[in-house]
Amino acid sequence: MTTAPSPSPPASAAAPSEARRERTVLSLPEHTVEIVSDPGEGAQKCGQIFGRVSAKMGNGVWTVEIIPAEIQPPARQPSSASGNRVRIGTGPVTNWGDHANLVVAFNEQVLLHRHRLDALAKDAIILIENMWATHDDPDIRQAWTDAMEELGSASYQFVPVPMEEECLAVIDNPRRGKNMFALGLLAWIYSRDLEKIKGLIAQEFRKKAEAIYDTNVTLIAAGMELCAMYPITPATSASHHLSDIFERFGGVVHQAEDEIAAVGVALGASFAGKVAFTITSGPGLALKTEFIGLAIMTETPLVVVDVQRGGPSTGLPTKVEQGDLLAAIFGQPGDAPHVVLAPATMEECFLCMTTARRVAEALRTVVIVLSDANLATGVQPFPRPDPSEQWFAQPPDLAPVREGLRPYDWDPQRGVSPRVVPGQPGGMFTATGLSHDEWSHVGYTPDVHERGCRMRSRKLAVFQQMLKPPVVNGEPTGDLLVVGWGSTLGAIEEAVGRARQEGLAVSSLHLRFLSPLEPGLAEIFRRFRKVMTIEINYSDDPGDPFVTAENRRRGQLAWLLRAQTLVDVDCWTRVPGEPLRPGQILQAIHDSMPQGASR
Amino acid sequence: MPSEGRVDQVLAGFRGPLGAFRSALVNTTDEVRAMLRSRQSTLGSRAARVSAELGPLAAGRIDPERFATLVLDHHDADPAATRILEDALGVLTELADRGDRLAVVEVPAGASLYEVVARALAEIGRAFNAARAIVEVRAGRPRGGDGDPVVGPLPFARWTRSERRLAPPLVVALAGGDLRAAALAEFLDGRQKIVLVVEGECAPAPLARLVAPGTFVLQTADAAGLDRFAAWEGPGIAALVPESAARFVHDPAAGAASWDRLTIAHTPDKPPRRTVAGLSAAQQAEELEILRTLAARPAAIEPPAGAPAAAEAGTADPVDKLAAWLLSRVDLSDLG
Repeated sequence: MTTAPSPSPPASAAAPSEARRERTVLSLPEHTVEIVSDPGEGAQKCGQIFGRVSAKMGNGVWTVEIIPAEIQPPARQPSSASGNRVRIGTGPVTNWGDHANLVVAFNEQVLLHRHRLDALAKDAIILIENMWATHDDPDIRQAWTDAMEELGSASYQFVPVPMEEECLAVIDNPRRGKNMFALGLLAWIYSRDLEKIKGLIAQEFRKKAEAIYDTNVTLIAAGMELCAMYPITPATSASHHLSDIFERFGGVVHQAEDEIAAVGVALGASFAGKVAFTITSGPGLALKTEFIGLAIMTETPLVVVDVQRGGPSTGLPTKVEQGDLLAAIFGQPGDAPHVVLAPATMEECFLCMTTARRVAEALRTVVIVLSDANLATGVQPFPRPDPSEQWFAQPPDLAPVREGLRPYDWDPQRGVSPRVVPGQPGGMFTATGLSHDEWSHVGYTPDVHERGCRMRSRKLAVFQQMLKPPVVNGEPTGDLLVVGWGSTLGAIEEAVGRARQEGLAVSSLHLRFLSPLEPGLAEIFRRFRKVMTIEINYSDDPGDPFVTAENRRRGQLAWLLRAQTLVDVDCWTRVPGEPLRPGQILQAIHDSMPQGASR
Repeated sequence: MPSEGRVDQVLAGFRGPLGAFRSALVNTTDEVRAMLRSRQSTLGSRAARVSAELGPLAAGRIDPERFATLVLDHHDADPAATRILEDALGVLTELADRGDRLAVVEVPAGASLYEVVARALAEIGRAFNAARAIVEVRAGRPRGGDGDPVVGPLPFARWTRSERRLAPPLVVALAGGDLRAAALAEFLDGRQKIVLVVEGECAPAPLARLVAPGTFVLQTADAAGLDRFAAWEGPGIAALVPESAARFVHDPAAGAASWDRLTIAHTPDKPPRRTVAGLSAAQQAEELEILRTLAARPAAIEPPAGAPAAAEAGTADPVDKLAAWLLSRVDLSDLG
């Protein structure tokens, strides 16, 4: 990435001088920027626009929102830090990196928060609002002094910036304009295209339909007709965007009175022949449990999107976690086989709905799509998809049901049965959540229940055999195989790449289908001396008090893989409320290399 | 069209509903294509089709040939059904290709506004007719025989409630001398909106007779109020009239009483003196009088002695009346 001199600094910057116009031009392969403020000061918006304009200029970009746990935390507290990390590079950027190289901080307290989280490079350049140093309030001045003392332990390069003073020269309320001032600073430093920035700002505030179209067109391309939802962080942004535009494309967004009603509406619509889905997050998934079971029992196609956040209970509403995996797969009473799919990038989030819809309809079952807060709220450029009309599957057949066809006319070999929709001549039947036979008659004998369970399970076995073995990133054999799923793809692959450059025999594997699991895993695992999952969910560390090999609670994918492959799969997991950093993963790789590993 | 600039201005204000209608057309064409592909697919082509339907994420992850064995195609041997689908596809594609111009029509000098609007809506109705034909094919009941216009025009009177909510607004350019709007009342239902872009002198209040409690009626000289008009979820009619005509807005959302809903910004200083668009001076004066009457708040009726003011006859909401009566039964004199 080359930063070229711009013709002049932004108008809002300090008084121009000839000396200022002389700029050193640096060529950088990548740089990571953070903008942090109190909530409501617009640092997130600034970061989003900076990320988007960088993407439009051809840079690789990955953004991560920095969000406080509370909606309106008190101002000037470390825990109030709100903003965005933007990692930009000349090539593709697949994760948020390790440390920020340049920070724009609206006050010293939010900066302190990032410092304490080890989010900043030791030599980071910090552009900081300096009005607090001379504030009228002595407590604030003291807080500034204390913070600066703590921050002095690192080797940051501080650049005081009178943001508020500069803003006051232009507008009455600097709180409303500081973020744009910061954006101007960043635009100048990184030689961003001001015209593109102006366009994006206008777009942001006009809520131009085409921007929203971009993010949601896949649902439309997937032929989705109904989104039934109840607002829940961090899933809300997707459904809100959809509500703005879905009707234009013939769809309906229904905000139900609660999570249970939302899945009920989606299930009812699907039962009636519509293409429906529901979107939620962890607590909502828990509430939807019974209706998901009903969908599985009645073999009604249904797509459920779970944008994972920290849990259990209300947990960490705004923070990323991969803690819903086992709940998504096994969270049903009784035997409830269904498909679980996890996109690994923002592009895959875009594309997976088409796949989910088709699989749900072909198997007459539930498909749960596991996204997470990082994927749902970040920005990453990818080639504009070309939604094809061929992505549309034909709508459910409403022609008269052929004589003798039963509502659950299971193919005894494969467990699948033709879908029957109410309103189809000859297709009337009583759907029931009770165990039932092929005619949907309630079964009172053990063999009926046994047969139903077997058929519903058989479909998954059949589908698993249609999946292709996953592709190993790196050599097919080695000392360590790192296995991941979901949004950790970029960080894992970057860490593995660095490890391989160091001469370590490490490869990685990233799963998209988690139920059923992709085939051939045991065979792949056996080609490595050690297999370890990397996940953003909780596991006991082997050295923790009372933790033994017998009672150790492992990462959720590790549980699954151990059970399924009988391979002694280890894990390294963390729940920091933020995405994993490649440097952390690299360290975990170093720590986990089997004894005698080659270099 | 002399009023082209103003027509474009109106269309810009209706980008949302116009886009929604066009998108519905395009989506339906995609669905029909999928149905046709399914009906015409062979075993060999099925895997390719299923591969496309699974989307790019499935490429390399799901074996499309094996997955295709799970997909049951509908092989309808009835060539009539396929022909209906193809006809419907042709109609939908043609209408979608017209873009915003589908929603614009011009009244030739001396022609009947009512008939032009009726024809234009029936033309839009072809989309609904096509959609109905598709639904019936899907249900295995392809209708019609040779020569039956299953995808022909569908008059507004035969539109369903949901069709009346989905239809795009209709923008009509016409001369003031052709503006006889009263008959358009029958088209004001669902979410149907009609905007008349008037060139030249017209009667002062040609839309007055269309004021009804649930109908948004707007007469404006400079497009003011069109944004509210476009946002209204019910039926409505608006006219961009010359400066000399009355300017008013009747917004059903503004209140329960007609004087709350109707705001008159301007009425001509002088009474009408000559016939315009077949409306005599007396008829025009009567239309202005309709407006004034509907906009006038009745003088308050003296409340009975001792009754609280909130119980003003006729003006209060029943809940207010009940609350006032209850309060009148309570002795509040010691509350200071």
